[in-house]
Amino acid sequence: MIFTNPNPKEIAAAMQQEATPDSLFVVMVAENTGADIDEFMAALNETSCQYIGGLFPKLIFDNALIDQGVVVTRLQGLQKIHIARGLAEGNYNLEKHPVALGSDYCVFTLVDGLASGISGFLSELYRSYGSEIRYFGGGAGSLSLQQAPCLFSREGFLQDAAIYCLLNQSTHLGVKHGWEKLGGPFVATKTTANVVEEINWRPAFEVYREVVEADYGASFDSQPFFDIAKGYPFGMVREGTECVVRDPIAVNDDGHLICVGEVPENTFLDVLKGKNQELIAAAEQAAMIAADQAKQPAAALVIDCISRVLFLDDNFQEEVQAVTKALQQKGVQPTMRGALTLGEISSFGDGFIEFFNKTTVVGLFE
Amino acid sequence: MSGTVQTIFSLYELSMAIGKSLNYKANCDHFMKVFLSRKMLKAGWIVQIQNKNVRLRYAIPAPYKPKEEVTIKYIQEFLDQDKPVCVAVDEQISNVCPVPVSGGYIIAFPMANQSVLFVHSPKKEAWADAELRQLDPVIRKFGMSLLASSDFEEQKRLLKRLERNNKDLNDYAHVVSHDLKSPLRNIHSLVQWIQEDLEGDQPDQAVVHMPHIYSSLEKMDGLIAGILRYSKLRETSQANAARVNLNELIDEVLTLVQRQDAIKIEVAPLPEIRADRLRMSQLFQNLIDNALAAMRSTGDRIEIGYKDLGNFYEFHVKDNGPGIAMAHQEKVFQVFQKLDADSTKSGIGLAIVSRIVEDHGGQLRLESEEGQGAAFYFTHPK
Repeated sequence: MIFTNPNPKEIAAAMQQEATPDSLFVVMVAENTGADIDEFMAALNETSCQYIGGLFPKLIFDNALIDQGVVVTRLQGLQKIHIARGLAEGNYNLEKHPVALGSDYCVFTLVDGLASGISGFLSELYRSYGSEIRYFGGGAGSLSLQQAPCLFSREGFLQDAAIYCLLNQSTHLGVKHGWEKLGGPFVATKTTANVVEEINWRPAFEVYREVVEADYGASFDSQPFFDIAKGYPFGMVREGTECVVRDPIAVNDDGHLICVGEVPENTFLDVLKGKNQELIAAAEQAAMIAADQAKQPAAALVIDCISRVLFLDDNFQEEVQAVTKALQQKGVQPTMRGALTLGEISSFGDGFIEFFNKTTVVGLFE
Repeated sequence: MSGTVQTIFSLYELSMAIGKSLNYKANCDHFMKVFLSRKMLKAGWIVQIQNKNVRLRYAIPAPYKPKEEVTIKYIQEFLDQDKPVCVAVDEQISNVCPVPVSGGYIIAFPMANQSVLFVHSPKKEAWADAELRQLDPVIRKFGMSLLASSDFEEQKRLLKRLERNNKDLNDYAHVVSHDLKSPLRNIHSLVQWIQEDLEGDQPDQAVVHMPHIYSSLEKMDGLIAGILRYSKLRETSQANAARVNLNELIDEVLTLVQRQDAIKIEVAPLPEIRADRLRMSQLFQNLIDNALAAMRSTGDRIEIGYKDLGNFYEFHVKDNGPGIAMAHQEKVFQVFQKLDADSTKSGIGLAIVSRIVEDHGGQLRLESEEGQGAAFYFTHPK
């Protein structure tokens, strides 16, 4: 469902019409919609629907990028909705699921993408639900990068929190980013959560700018930091698979680089570089990986990083079209819906759960 | 990048993730997150042979199988080899793993303190001997840091016990100087009055004072019995720990407590835990007695249940009685503190509960609002 000029009562009525006892409605609201979330929640709370929602910089519906409006997708097999409050402090206890779950279960989660402590929350989620199930989700929040309430459910409009739902539904995921190594390896010798203070025992920005300016051909002094940095993220190396990308979004007065997502101290880092066609091909590949595993998906959801839009600019439309086309070619029927997020979450039985940046995650729910 | 450089960086990253906390679990969490993430591993757990038992010290994801299923022989074989070993997952191995594993390989790294770190790699390729040899010293260093964490935690536990014993001594002094002195003063006054009545040839009047003397004596007797009961509460040790079926234990406890038929006690299915059985029995009896003492009428209910929070369980005993005002909530865990003037109560029940919970490595807390019932929660490590 897409609502370009959203009326909360209209959305609530449409959801109620499609609701079944085990449906979960994921309500994605584009931040420029100017929606009154309290009014939204009041309307949704009058229905019998189970829902979770978030504010995102932009949305995706079919092969279009949505700047204003609401996209709703229905997932099936809902077991329970949980909330973890206070991610920054870590003052929450996630209840361990009483029996071991297999790959026919999925935890779908939305987190406050600007909260610190996301990595700790994901570890606890993994601890609670085990290594065999699928994990899928993303970070809500504003492109202004100002932390504010951005998640909602029947429990309220939340900030510094995560909402997670256990679904008894087979989920097939494809995760790719397409960024390639430009320089490194380096060691993040001093970090505090998402702030990289030193690289190779030197101020982080000093090392970063040497690598980036040599490739970019212009100085950081001549342009705003993110205009250049959006094309040169960090990669945290993992053996035998794509690295985990970390997006440096700002530099502070001390020459520290502020990233979206935590960078553990002494992490082994590369500086990456993106090329339009390779990024688009990677997103297409993510769609194909998911589609190759799926038989008859009932829902298609894409969680794509907003900073890919900022990097690809007008070419991002090509990425959306490539994903849609790949899914259609593989016979995936449901309309693709999704959000452009502040960080992406995935694990599909191949290793530990990760919080990604600048990555495309395609999920097909059967 | 050449494989050699990548290996050096990877070993550096792992080495630097060691010993980030003196807390055993936090130390493990920090190292294992890096190890699992960088090496694309699905699970990791640490088992230790201690007092001829196998103890599961850590697991991520949280464990499902009871630790007794991990046999000593199985662990001892890995320790005896004294080098890392990579074995394909088969039915036998998956049966003794505390987390579900299917396919891939289990890699066992012997460590200090009769411990073994196991990790599960879902990849189809076995780990090369060279990789195992390179990781061996890093994992042994991690093992040494865990030994330091264990020692630190033991030291902290002993210090806490010492502090508690000192506090108990102060409490005893308070009881003797204040709580025992008060009924003694009453008796002194009452005896004086009896003497005056007898001297005034008023024996009928003297007899009136006798029940008050008995009441004060009973109060003193109760306090002294309480002191003895609390001081005899033996320290819980690993030697007294055994598998305890809590549902059976609570059934036994319920035969000991006195209650009206109108009060319902609902007990959810509870897990087996490793604990001192006698102490756990005392713990539940005191919590149930405490809840029952507050309840009188039809519709009153006590619920006993638990949550699995991964590395520990959180048990609860909830009642829908009158609740405890916020101002009194800290007081209830102190020895000889009573919230009412009932002379039949010793005021040590919840202090005993607190001590048993702490001795088992858990924490006790109370959630209550006046008029809304009370819920006692306590954690118990797996």
